[in-house]
Amino acid sequence: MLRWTGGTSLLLMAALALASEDAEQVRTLTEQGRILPLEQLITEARKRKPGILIEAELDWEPEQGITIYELLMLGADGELWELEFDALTGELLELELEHEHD
Amino acid sequence: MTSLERRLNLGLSLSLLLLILGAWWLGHAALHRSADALVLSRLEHDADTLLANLRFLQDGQPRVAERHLPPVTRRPYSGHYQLLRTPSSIAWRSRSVWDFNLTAPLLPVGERTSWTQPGPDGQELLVWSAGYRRNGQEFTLTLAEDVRPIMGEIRGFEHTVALLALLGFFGMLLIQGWILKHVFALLAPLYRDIDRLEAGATGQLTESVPREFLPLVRKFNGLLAVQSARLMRSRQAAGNLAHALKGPLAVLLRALESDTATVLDRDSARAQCAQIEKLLERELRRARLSGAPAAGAWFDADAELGPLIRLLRQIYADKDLRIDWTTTHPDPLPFDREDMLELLGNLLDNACKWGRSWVRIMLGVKDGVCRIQVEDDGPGCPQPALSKILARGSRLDERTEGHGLGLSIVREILQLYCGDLHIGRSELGGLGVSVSLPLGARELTKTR
Repeated sequence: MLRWTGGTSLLLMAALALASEDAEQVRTLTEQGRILPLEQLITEARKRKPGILIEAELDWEPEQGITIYELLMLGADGELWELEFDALTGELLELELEHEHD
Repeated sequence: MTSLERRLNLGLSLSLLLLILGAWWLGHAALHRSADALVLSRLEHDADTLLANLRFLQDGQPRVAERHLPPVTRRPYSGHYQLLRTPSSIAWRSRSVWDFNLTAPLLPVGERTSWTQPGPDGQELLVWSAGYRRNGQEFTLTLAEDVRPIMGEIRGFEHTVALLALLGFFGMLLIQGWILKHVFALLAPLYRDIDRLEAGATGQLTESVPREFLPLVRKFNGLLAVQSARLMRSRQAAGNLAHALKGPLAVLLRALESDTATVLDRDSARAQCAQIEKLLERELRRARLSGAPAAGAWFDADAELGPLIRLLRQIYADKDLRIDWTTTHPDPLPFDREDMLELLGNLLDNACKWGRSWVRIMLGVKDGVCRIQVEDDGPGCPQPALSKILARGSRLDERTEGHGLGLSIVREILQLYCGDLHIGRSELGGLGVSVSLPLGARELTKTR
């Protein structure tokens, strides 16, 4: 349980609010039609590696030309696969076994 | 053509279908309700957790301590979604909602509701929603869970049950078909007996048949007995007639063969011809009185007596007879119509023949016995002759004297119906014949 006491609470709240910020960013971009919906990318990913979506992340720095959607899929073979798509075109950029890289 | 098997199959199919559908519906409803209740109670608990980790800032914006929420609400499309709506906007979504558009109503404070709707990535969501107020701030929490895994289980189970029900359904039809086949196999002795009946090897059908068929067989056997008795009677009548014709014919022949036919011979021949004519008349009358055959019909006294008496009045038109009749039993009697017509025809014909001006017939039923009384005002019958008539086994000679009582036929019919015959003096002065016929004496009458 959180304790809502004094000045720390505001700081704490700010930090917590950040947590789902990436989802809000994705939602805004998807609604604006600037990136593809996640559902479409999952369908695409399943064509390569049938499995369950474990995690998704958007690497969004269009100024530097980075528009990468990272999907972490648990394959039917029990292995975790990392797939990278271009969030604009849906093109598969990378398909590899998941490893600790960042 | 009606088919027992088809009817039974139809009945069984319909009742089984009703039963299966009913059971199916009940099971289906129970499964889904309890699964939904389970998920909804979990969502409610999640909502409590969310409430505990929720705070509104001065500007009215909510802040949620997301790391204290279940981790599953943080994975995109995880199937567990949470959403907070204030009157102005959707103020907060769990990260798992990601870019999916989950509809969220704004409910009045204290109200709660639930529904199902499709989710992202083919999910089926069960959504729970409730309205709250906190520090004057109204908001609605909406939580959803993907019920696909549970529904998958339930559907698999339901498919299995449906398959089993279908197998059971056809299995039962097969079993019923098998039982029917064996039941009909039990009728084989009946078929055998019918063949033997045709060949004359038996006069009766076997009664070792299933209980349900016994009434039919008994009725048929009763009918067989009636028919064979009737056949016997007509054979006997034919024999009697042939025998009766023999004497007069012999006299005639003798008269024809002799070259020197005297007046006496001729007179004798004429007398014999008259005798033959009388005999033929008698047989013809009997045939007329018996009426048209209607096999197996019950005897309706009220309906039959009128025509019979009209016929007798015609036959004895020259006598100007008064014929009274009373029946105290309006319903048809369980006796064969032809037998009764023959019985009554004989008794009445006799009474009319001997009666001078008055014939009376009474028919009634008392204590399960039908009583028929026929009286006339004729000369009656002297006691010795009566004893002779009534003597068992004595064949009444109707031929030679020409005034037989037709009683042999009456007696045969009575035998068939286990009836009694009593002959005595009538109040009218002549002969009084009374007949009693028990209503339930024969299987034939029982099984009608």
